[in-house]
Order: sequence, then structure tokens, then C-alpha cells
Amino acid sequence: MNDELVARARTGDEQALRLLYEGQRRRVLRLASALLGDNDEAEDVMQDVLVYALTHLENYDPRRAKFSTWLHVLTVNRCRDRLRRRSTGWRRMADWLRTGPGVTVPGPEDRAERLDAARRVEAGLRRLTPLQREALVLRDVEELSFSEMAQVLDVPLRTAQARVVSAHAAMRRALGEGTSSAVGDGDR
Amino acid sequence: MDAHVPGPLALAHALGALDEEERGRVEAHAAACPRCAALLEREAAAAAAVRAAVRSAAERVRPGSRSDWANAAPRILPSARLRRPLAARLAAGGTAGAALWIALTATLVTAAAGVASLPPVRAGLREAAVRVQMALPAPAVAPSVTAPPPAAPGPDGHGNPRSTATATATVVAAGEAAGAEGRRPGKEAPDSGAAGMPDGASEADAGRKAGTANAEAQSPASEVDSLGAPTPTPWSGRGSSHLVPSPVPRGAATRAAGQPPQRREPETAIPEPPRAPPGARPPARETAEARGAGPRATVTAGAPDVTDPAGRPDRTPERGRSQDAPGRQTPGHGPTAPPAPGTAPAPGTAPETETPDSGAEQPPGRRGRP
Repeated sequence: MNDELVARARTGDEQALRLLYEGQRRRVLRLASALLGDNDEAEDVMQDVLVYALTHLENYDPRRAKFSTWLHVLTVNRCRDRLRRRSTGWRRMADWLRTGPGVTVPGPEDRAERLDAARRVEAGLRRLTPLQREALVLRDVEELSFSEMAQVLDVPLRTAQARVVSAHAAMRRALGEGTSSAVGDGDR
Repeated sequence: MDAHVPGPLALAHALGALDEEERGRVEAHAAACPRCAALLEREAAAAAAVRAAVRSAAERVRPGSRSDWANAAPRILPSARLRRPLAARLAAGGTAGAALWIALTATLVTAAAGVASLPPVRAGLREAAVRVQMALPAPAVAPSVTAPPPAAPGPDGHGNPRSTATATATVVAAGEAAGAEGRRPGKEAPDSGAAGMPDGASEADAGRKAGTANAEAQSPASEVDSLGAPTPTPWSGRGSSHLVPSPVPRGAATRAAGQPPQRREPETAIPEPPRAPPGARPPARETAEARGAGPRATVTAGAPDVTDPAGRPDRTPERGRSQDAPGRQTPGHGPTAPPAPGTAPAPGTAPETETPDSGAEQPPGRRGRP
């Protein structure tokens, strides 16, 4: 289905472009959000990824991977870039204006929400390394096979498998530490 | 497998991260080892729980409105249109171009029809032009032909009791104050349309021979005609406007401007000048100051008529006819008009063919011009 739409979109079919965008944007956003842990930033990434993909369809080779896999590659790379900027402490002025200078001390509401299971999962995901998080999200959220993961992450199959195992182990530790761990993570 | 299944291997088994050989060995040991079988079950449950938690957290993400197609389309569609096949782009462009061409043509046709059916606008333009012409000094007249043959004095047979020369004399004698009044007869020529072709041509020639005062006397009328009626002015040449019949009768613009209609001077008020004897040559230039005329009398008397060696006037009725449309002649162009007092016949013309009108004053710079 996607291949047919891609073929039509390559000829400038606006309807096909729209169907591709609408069909893939949630998936890309979900992946970006899981990797980044920030919905606003994930939405920016999603737009960047889809706009780039739909305006550079000539770069997509259907013989090498599925269209969704190609989008995953683009999304992971974009998210890596974002995380790299975060690690260097660089923030865009727009982000600073939107979110402020960065409040690290959570308020009472934030502490209460962190007791929620979903918040604990998010906290556990934050404790993962980016590579572990990529593997976990691609495997469990996007339900990619290990071979597809290896393709997206551009790593050997064994490496992809090992990353998934490592991510699960770390996640389990994070979730097993209970709420105290999650709260403590937020206090950091 | 004698040893128990280690934890990471059990987790990898639960996550499906083992190849066929490893998975076969683990499952064979777990089948024989209840402890390892329980470990595999726990690991599978934990992995499923983590997977469910992560998935549920991810499923809560909803795209916002700012990532709608409407917001992304402006960034995507331009490049997509460039990827269209050339034939499709040409077809789209051709369709748009044809639509644009049709719309433009329809607009032009509508505009043309609208302009043609706007007589009030044209009347307003004529009125404005008359006002401008009244305020501007009239240019000189270039004589092009000799005087027409003499005709019977008095009314020129077109319902005009007096000629341009008469009006000229009146203007010169009365000065600037009377100039406006003298111009009005030129504008009022409602009956001149009934003139015949030869007479119209002769009148045209006579009018071209007239001097500046004559031109001033008739210039407003000519200008009015050039805007609304086919009669061209001597200085404006053959404008395209004279090809279009005016829907407004001559003098309507003047009346519309609030001016009274033409007042015709009585014929008895202008004395008949003495005719020059045959062969007598009038003075080449006679200024109006010498004659004691008004302030307008700075022009020469007599036009440098161009005649052929035989002394015949270079009359070209066809030319005059072509320049002056029939029925558009102003009263001042009549060849039978009596000469203005103090004017002399034009030099180089036969006395018997010289009309008083042809001796109207001519600007010095225009003398000798064919």
C-alpha cells in the first residue's frame, strides 16, 4: 500500500502525498516522542522527518527497505541530533522562549503524577541510554523485527538484539526500584 | 545443557533475541528443569509488562494541530509539483493560460464596449478640453494652400451669415474682451453639416489660409471638434478623432459648460473692404499695430499663399475635403466672407481669386511655409 502511494507521490500526486503524511505522522511522532521524551520536540521532529521524506522521495529505495523503515531511520537520526544537542547543553532560543530556562525542580503536582505507572515508565525510559531507548522503542513500540532494527540502527543483528536485552534489563531495574526511584530521578 | 539458564539468556529468550540454535537449547533445558522453566516464564512476563508499559506510554501521544497536513502542505507541495511530469505541468499551465487569456479578452471587450457607450464622459472631456483651450493661447496656423476662388459676399450658403474673417475682424477690433465672444461663433456651427463637399473643401482651404486671429477665432471650435467632432484643427493635423462621428452635436459642449449659444454679429456692422485691383500685390506684411488693431494684432496680414507658376491657386479640394469632413465646416471658413477691416489680400494671389478671408493675419514665422 505504501509502495503504491510512494509511487504516486513520486509523480507529484498530492492526494498520495497527503495519504502518506496522514498515515505515517502518528507513527513517527510516537517514535520521536518515545525517544525524546518531549512531545513538542517530537512534533517538530515529526514534521521535519515527513517533510524531508516527502520532498526527497527520490532518496528512498523500495528494494532496500520498507517506507516505514526509511522513516524510522530518518526519525532516529533526527532524534539523535536532538539528543546530541541536549547533551551539549545547547538549546534553541525558540525552545527557551517556549519552555523557559529549564526548571529541574518538580512541583507537588509533578511529584504526584510521577506515582502513576505511566510516569514510572517514562522515568525508566529516561534512565536508559539513547541506544537502549532506541532499541526498546523500535522493538516494543514500533514492533520491528531485529533485522529491521539492525537496518534502522545500522548495526549488526546481534548488536540490535543485545541492545534490546540491555534496554529491557535496565528498564526492569528502573521499574523495580519503585516510585522512590522515579521520584528520585525527577529530583535530579 | 546441564547448567541452569542464566538470567540474561532467559531474558533474551523472552525477548526473542536468540537465534534458532540457542532457543532450541534453552527450551530443551527448560523442559527438563522446572526452575529454569519458571525463570523463563518470569522473564517473559516481565518483558511483556515492560513492553506494555512502554507501548501504553507511547500510545498516549497524539499529534497536535500544528502538525496537520494543512500546515505541512506548503512545505511539501511545491517540490511535489516540480516532480510532476512535464506533460502534466504543461497541461496545467496551458489550461491556466487559456483561462487567463479568455478572461483578459473578455475584460478588454467589456471595457471597450463600456467606453463606447459613455457619452456623458465624452461630453465631460470635451467640456474640460474647451476650458483648457480657452485658457491657452492658440498656436499659429500654417498656410498650406492658396485662397479659394471668390464667391458671393454675404452668407456663405450654409446658413452662416458671416465668415471667419468677419469674426476675426470683430475679435481684433474688440480686443481680448471680445475675443471670447468672437470665438463662440466658431464653435456654433449646427448647420454646417449640410454643406456640400466642394464648398466644404473651399472653406477648409480658406480656413487654413486664415491668420492667427482667424485661428484664434476658430481655435476653440476646432479644438472642440477635434475632441468630439471630426473637424480637425489646423495645428492638430488629421487626428484620428475626426474619423469618429460625435454623438453630441456641435456646440453642445459649450452649452453644457454654461455658455450661451452663438451670437451672430449683424452683417451690417462690418464694412465691406475695398477689393484690390487686378494684379495689385498687397503688402507682404502688415502688422496689426500699424492698423491700430487690438493687442492681438501682432501678426502679419496675408498668408504666403503657394501658387503655381500660372498664378492659379494651389487649391486641392480633395485635400481639403479629406482633411475637413463634410458638414463639419465652421462658419469662419467660408470663402465668401467679407474681409476684415484693415486686412489686405494675401500676396501672390490673384485679386479676383483673393477673398477677404484669405487675407487674414498670419504669424510671421509661418510665412512662406507650404
